[in-house]
Amino acid sequence: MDRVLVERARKGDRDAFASLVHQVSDSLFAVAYRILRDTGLAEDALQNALVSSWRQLPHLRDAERFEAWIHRILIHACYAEARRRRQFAANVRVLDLPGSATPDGSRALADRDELDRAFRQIPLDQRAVFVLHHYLGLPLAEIADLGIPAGTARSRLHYATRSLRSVLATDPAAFVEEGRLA
Amino acid sequence: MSDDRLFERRARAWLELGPTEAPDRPVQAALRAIESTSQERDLRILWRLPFMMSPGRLAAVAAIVAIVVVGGVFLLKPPVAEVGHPSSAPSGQPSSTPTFPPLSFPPVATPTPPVPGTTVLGEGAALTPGATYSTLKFNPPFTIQGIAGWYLGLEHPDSLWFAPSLDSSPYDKTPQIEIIRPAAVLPTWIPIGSPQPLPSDLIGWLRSRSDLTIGASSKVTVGGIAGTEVDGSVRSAGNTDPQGWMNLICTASVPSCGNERYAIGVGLGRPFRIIVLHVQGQTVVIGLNTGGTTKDFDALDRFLAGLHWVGAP
Repeated sequence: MDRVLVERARKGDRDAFASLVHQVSDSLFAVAYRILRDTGLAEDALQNALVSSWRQLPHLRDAERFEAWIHRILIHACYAEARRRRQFAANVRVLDLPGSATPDGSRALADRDELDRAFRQIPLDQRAVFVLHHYLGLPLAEIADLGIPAGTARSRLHYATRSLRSVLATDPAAFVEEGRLA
Repeated sequence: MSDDRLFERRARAWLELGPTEAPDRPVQAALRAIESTSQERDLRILWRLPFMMSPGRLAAVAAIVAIVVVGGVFLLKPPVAEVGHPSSAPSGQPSSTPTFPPLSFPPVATPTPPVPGTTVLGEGAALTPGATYSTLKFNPPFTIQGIAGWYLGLEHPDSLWFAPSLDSSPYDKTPQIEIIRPAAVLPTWIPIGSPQPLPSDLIGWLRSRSDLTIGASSKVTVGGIAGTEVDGSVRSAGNTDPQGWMNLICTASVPSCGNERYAIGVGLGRPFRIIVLHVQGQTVVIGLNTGGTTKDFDALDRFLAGLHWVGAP
């Protein structure tokens, strides 16, 4: 991340902030989508996180920490979206997931839906830690930098893992090796 | 390979499915929003000043602190009533207002309301009675009088909603007002079906549904525009989700119609009112979901009494 851009944006330079947005928005959206499992919610979380980060940017003390800091804001935006729109538990639907063509589309769709369903049943704070750890590859110590104490992150990851493992136990075909769905 | 390692690999593989690029819409919307959004002032800078300033600046800060302290003492000093004369100032108030050198802060940018004399309707804002607000994104634009106890939730170009609490959702049994520019209708909610093109007779489409009870149509004028309203209720739960909800009329923003915040939906056991208008060549649908009693229609009446479409007579 360009420290100079962050400093300029921190002082109110909107062009600099726009450049930062273009650098981080893909990652933020990908994380938001994976936590919320809904494109519309993820879009709104991203939008709100970007606006919040602009407002709060003068409070950022260390420009080197910009990425972690904005991911922390995104996580809170995801929580806020989920609170606003409590559709997770009630509306379990097959979602459009681009870029996931497989030889057996119907079977893969069913498996994926199974995992989506299981994931949505996990509390949002557990989902967030699971995504940060397994998708962004953040160690628990770095997740602590996002405002989640390491011990709390560890327990949330444990419970999320246990929930998803139970899906594996009942439907082993849901995951396959080598990074592809069945 | 251990079970743990295998699980991690599989979990990562599954998480890698899905979008990896941000759509333009939220990014552009955010960038547009910050054009009219000011940054928060970092008040913590004040605490750091003594450690990073030159002696001259330090003296200036000391002078400001002295002014503030002296001013504070002056403000807090109780008034002394003159002997033989009643005090002209209320108890506890100074009889005159001290003046201080103005402190200069950067100007705070606020969005310019599209309608002069109004306040921009900000997302998440509590409405203040007596204030007049104008929409910023919704098309066609309108102004609205503030109603005590109501909030604007989210505003999009083709949908916005109001509720008595920001944490409420359509699933909560509290009144909700949604205003949308419809693009499609949804025949089945559970399981979610494919949205169908918007029928020319939207009220007729509602009436044709076997799971709804729709009352007689009546003419209504909203914000200077004539329209049609119907009251209704959900007759059967076959198409509702476990919480008794179903989406009916959808926006173009969410082509799947799978998000209840961008749609007109109805709930089991909750009488609803739907109004269809044609504003500046565009169809607009206003929906009120009651919390379960028709008394909540009063809220909609108050709301609509203060709504005016920009450009309408």
